[in-house]
This record gives sequence, C-alpha cells and structure tokens, in this order.
Amino acid sequence: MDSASPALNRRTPDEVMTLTTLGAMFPTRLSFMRLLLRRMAHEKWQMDAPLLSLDAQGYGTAVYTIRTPERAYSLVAFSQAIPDERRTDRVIAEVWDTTYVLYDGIPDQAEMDRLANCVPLQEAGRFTPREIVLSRANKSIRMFEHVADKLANGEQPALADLRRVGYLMRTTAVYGNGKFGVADRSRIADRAEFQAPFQAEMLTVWLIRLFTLDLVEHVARHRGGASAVLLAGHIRRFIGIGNATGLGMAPFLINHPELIGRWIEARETAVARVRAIANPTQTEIGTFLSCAERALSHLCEWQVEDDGYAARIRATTGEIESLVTWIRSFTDPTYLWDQITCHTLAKFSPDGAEMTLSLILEPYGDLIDDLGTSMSLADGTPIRADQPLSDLRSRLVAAYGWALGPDMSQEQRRHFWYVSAAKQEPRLGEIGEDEGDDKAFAFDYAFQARSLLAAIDSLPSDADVGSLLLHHPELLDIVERLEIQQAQPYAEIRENLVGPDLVPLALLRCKLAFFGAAKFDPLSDKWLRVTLFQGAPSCIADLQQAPDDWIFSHSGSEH
Amino acid sequence: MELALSEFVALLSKAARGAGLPDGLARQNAALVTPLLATGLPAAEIAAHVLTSFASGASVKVDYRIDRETLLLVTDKPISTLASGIGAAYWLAGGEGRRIEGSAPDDARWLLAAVAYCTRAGGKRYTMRQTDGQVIGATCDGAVIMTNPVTDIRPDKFVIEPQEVAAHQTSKIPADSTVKLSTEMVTSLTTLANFTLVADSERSRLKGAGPGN
Repeated sequence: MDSASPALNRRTPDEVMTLTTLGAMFPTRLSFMRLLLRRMAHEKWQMDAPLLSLDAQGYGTAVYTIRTPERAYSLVAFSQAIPDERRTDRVIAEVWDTTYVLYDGIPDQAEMDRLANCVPLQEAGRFTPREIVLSRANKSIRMFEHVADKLANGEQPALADLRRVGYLMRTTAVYGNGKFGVADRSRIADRAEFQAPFQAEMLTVWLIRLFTLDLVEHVARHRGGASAVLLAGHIRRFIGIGNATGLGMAPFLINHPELIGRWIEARETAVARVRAIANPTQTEIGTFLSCAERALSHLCEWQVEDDGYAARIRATTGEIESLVTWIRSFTDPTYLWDQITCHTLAKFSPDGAEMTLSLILEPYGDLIDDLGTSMSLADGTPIRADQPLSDLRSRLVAAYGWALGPDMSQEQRRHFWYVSAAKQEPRLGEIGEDEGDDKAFAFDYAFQARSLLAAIDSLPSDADVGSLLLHHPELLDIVERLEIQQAQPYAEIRENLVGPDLVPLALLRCKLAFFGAAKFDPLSDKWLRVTLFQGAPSCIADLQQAPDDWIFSHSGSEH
Repeated sequence: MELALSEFVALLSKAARGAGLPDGLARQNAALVTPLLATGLPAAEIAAHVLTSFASGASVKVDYRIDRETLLLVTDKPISTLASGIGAAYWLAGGEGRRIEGSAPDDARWLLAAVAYCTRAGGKRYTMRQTDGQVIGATCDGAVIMTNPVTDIRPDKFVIEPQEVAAHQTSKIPADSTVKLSTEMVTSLTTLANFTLVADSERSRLKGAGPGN
C-alpha cells in the first residue's frame, strides 16, 4: 500500500464501538458464512446423497453427510409433529418441529438410536464429544404449507410471498463449545475447516437449510403424487433459513471482548486496505456498482413492520441510490473508495454508511480475504502485574474517557442484565422496577472504570498493578478488559450498557452481521428475526459454480 | 457424570458468582481449574470445596498484611481465600523479591494455581514449600505441578517464592478431555450456580425478554 495514501488509518474505536455503529452493521466478505462457503468451494467438499427416513407428513429422521478433504461430518435431523400452541421461538420452549446435531463422522445405527433419545430433548438431553453442534428449528407454518401446496399442485411458490418471509423454518438456538456435553471448541479448533469463528455452527445451519428444502419437496411429493414438482433452482436458492434471536446473544458480545475485538479489527483493517487503493480499475468499480444495484433490490425486498426500522431502510435506499448515481458520473477515480468512505461517514445515516463499507469490500477478495484467519481467539491476554499504576491510569483515561466524565451519574444506571430461572433465559430488567438486580451480570463497565480510577488514585504513585489487585480484587474484570484493549482496541463497546438509552437490538445485529445474516426484522426492542444464507448455494454442485456471489441477494438475482 | 471441559468451567464460573464473587474473580476462579486439571489434581473437588465453604462463610476466610516484601496471609479478617488468593497471586507477580507466606490449609493448592495462572505471562516460576523446607509444589507455564498430588497439604504455614531450579514440563489438557464429577458435586455446584438465577414472573417473562412469541 502507498504510505502516503489518505486512508491507512482505521476508524478509531470511539467511532466504531458505539451502539449506533454496531447496530447498523451489514454482512461483508468476512462474514462467517462467506468464509465457510468459500472454503467449501475451494476444497471441493463433497456430499453423500441424503438419507431420508420420513413419513408422508415429513416426520422421521434424515442424515446429511458432508466430506471435507480429510473428514466427514453428518447433520442428523429429527422431524416431529408438535401442537401449534407449543411452538415458540423462545428459549423457554420445550418442543420443536425439528431438532439437529452436527455429528463428528457418520453415525451407525447404535449412535442413531442414542441420538434419537437425546437430540429432540435439546437442553434436557446429555450429549458427547461426538456431537459438535446442537440445534433446532421451527416451521414458518404458513410459508411451509404454502410452498408444499404449490409444489404439490405442480406450481412454483409466489416470489411475492417469499420476499416477505424468505425461509421455511427458523432456527431458535445453535449450541456448540461444550454446551450440554457436546464437543469443546478445543477439540475441533485445530481442524483447518473450523479455525475461523463459528464455522461448525455455520455448516450446521447451511445443512439445516438444505434439509428444510428437501423436506418441503418430500411433503409436496406425497401430497401431490405425480403432479408434484421440485423447487425451481432460482427459487430454491432464494429460500434461506430463518433465525430468531433474543437477548441471549448480547451477553456473548459483552463477555468476549478479545474475540469481538478481533472481528471488528479485521473488518476495519479490510476497509482501511480498500480505502488505501489509489487507482481502482474499471472492473473493480463495475463489481462495486453491480453489488450496489443488487443491494438496492435487496433493500426494496427487506420488509419489516417496525416503523423505525422501515424508515431506516428507506433512508439507506435513498443514500445508496445517490451513491450509485454519483459514481456513474465521477471523473477522477483517485482514491475513489476513500472519497466514498469519507462522504458516507459524514453525510449518510449509520445504515447507509455501513452498507457502503460492506459494498466497497466486495471487489477485493484477493486483498482482504486473508483477514478471515485473524478472527479467531488466540491465547488469552494475561494481566501484567508489574506495570506501574501510572501507566494503567493513562490507558484507563484513554480507553474509558467516555465513562469518566461528570455526566455518568448513578442515574445513568437504569438497567440490569440477568438470567431467569425459567430455562435460564437471559433477560433485561429495570432497576427499581424488576426483581433480581442483586444477581445481575456486572456489565456496568462504565461504572467499574470510574471505580478503577478512584482505586488507582487512592494508592501510592509508585504502586503497581499487582498491589492494586491485592487491595481491590473486585476490579480484576475491568483491569483485564483494559489489558485486552492494548492489543485489541476494538474490544470494548464504548457505551453505558446499563444506561437508560440502551438498545439491545444493536448488539444482536452486530453479531448477526458478522455471521452473515440479512433482513434484520425487529419484533420488539429485545429480539428480532433474520434470514441466513438467502441467495447462497443450495447444493454442493451449486457451490462449485458460483461460490461467493450472493451478498445482498434478492428474488431476481441470477445465478 | 461427565462434563465437557468448557461446560465445567462455565458451571464453575456461575457457581463462583452464585457464591458471591464478582464476575471477574469468578471467571478467573474458573480458569484456574485448567492448570490444576493438567496436573491430575482433583480440581473439581478443590473448587467445589472452596466455593461451598466460601458460600457458607466457613473457615476459608483470610486477610493479609504486608511486611516489607512479604505478604502474610492471616486468618482474623473476613476476606475470601479466593479473592485474596488471586489478588495475592497478582501481588506476588508484581515485582522481584516478593513472596507470600501464610496459612490457608485447605486452599494451598488453589493459591498455588492462582499464582501459576496469574504469573504465566512473565514466565516466572514459583515453588510452594512448607515451613520445614519441604517443597510441595511448583508452577510452570500456567500449570501447577504438585510434588505428590495425592498427599494432603499439612494445615500449617507454607511459603510461595520464586523458584531457582529448572521447572517441570507443563502438563497440557488433552483437547478431547472431559471432566468426571460425582453427582453430589454437580449438585453442589449447580446449587451455587442457581443462586445467580432470578425467579420467573409474568412481568419478567413479558417485558424482560421481549416478549417474543
């Protein structure tokens, strides 16, 4: 890169690590779904013919075995009838239409029998390290039945309906890393295919999507007999897999600062690399425009009931339209991407700016895709106990200046995060209104930073961190977070996470965007639905033909 | 009962919170188990015992005083072993010449594990010896190596100090390891962990989570 370029510097943590920016993020080339599908295509993964053992209504079992160059993994699916009144997307559910595990290898009959006894129970079952991921999904009944009926009658489902709900089922949990006895992350972390974040989980969800597509065709075949048809290729590809996400995802983002810091750093580094390009080629600009125009169609099909979100989508649409118009008329492409970035960050809404940043990355796989390998957690950051407190104080003021001012009064401590006894569902309470603030997670980092400053100032100037922690072991958490930020400047969300203006949805959207989710659809201020893998290859053969060209897909996308 | 290692660490962290430790200490407390397990020590038993004792306000409370470069653990003031142990470990790691001397009979291994964990970055090594000079354990690269893991540490004074001799090789937890626990121990830790849960209510169900469908 040219060291004299205007864009070598990444955005600062103060600019990025706000709920406004995090809550406006979109998928990028570095999203975990993209990482997975690129690897699958590059390594030419194979898949055995699915083993479907389903009755006419689609109830029974299925096994999907996928083969990497070195290993085989099997999605084992169980489909059952459940009463409508017991179908809920919340953690407190106890039955689901379908349940799954990603199995390490190919299960024999004895293993299938064992899995049949525990997988449908989900959290109430016990699992072994042979199971890597545990998941479940509920049908979107109206959409599933609509598609099944259409196919049974020899017709294709209406795209207008699919635009509104772009999936047949929604996953409601995807568990890994030792949960309920499944394999620890450490057991699979050294496998090349799982080194990037959440790859086993993404593989599971992609295979679940395939199962939902095969399931609806199976049901249609039994309903319609000889007149039934399969899904048309472009429709099959447009149907993604839904996901319902609640507050449970937010504590992960807060509790894993080092990991989140790596994700954001990779993304910001990618943006900085592209901004530093002095002379983009016409081909690269053409790719950007193609993606931007696809994004406009995607935005038009992104339908939500939430008025605020609908307004945000409309504003983003207008901004991307203006951007496309401007680029078609520009005359000097020197540092084009930096010009665009500066303009959008100054003039666009947060959504418009973040979508633009996603789009400028698209032409530059060769330049930025290597950053995907830097997004996993390395060894933890140890606390250096022999550093002078004066150093710690300087870094505290630099990293938590936003929390140390006079306006961060106790009145700004309005919310608390807790876990309900009802199936351990994470929830958010209001101090003075709800029970349980004595059992809250200590997410009040703004206030802990203030306590740390007071503690430092109460000790002799020549004291060290070890002495501080001897006297104040309760400050260990905030000291550790400060240490992490030395290496990972994007590790901390620089907002009061217990404040009156807290927007939990922003946290959920950030993490979902890193997964690669799209069409965020808030159903309250604490949970939302999204669509995963919409427009992505829907079979192994499809994967080899167009492996990485599906960001911001829409129903008219040609693949 | 057999738990995945990360499942056990998560349970231990919740149990520590349930026992009353702040979040950071609870997480560090749980993280200390891995080096203990690496040596084949009965880490789950130690952790469960310390946490249960702490929660019940039993005899594992210590405080400290500092005499020049020596941190003296004493038993007359109510600060938890876990908190002071981890804090003391960081203090020890804070400068050359520092040593810890004290009486924490049930938790000596825990304290040594804390030292090992907290000082791993600096590559420092420490030994734990009893006042009669007998070396009963050593740290190495984040692990704790006991001279004889099955021998109970005598309930008298011990000293943790920088080690001059070459350290043992670190024992690593196998990637596919699981943690075997008795039903009673799982029950004990789960009981503590459940103290972190808030009783369900209609308001909580509707307002706290979303409400969702």
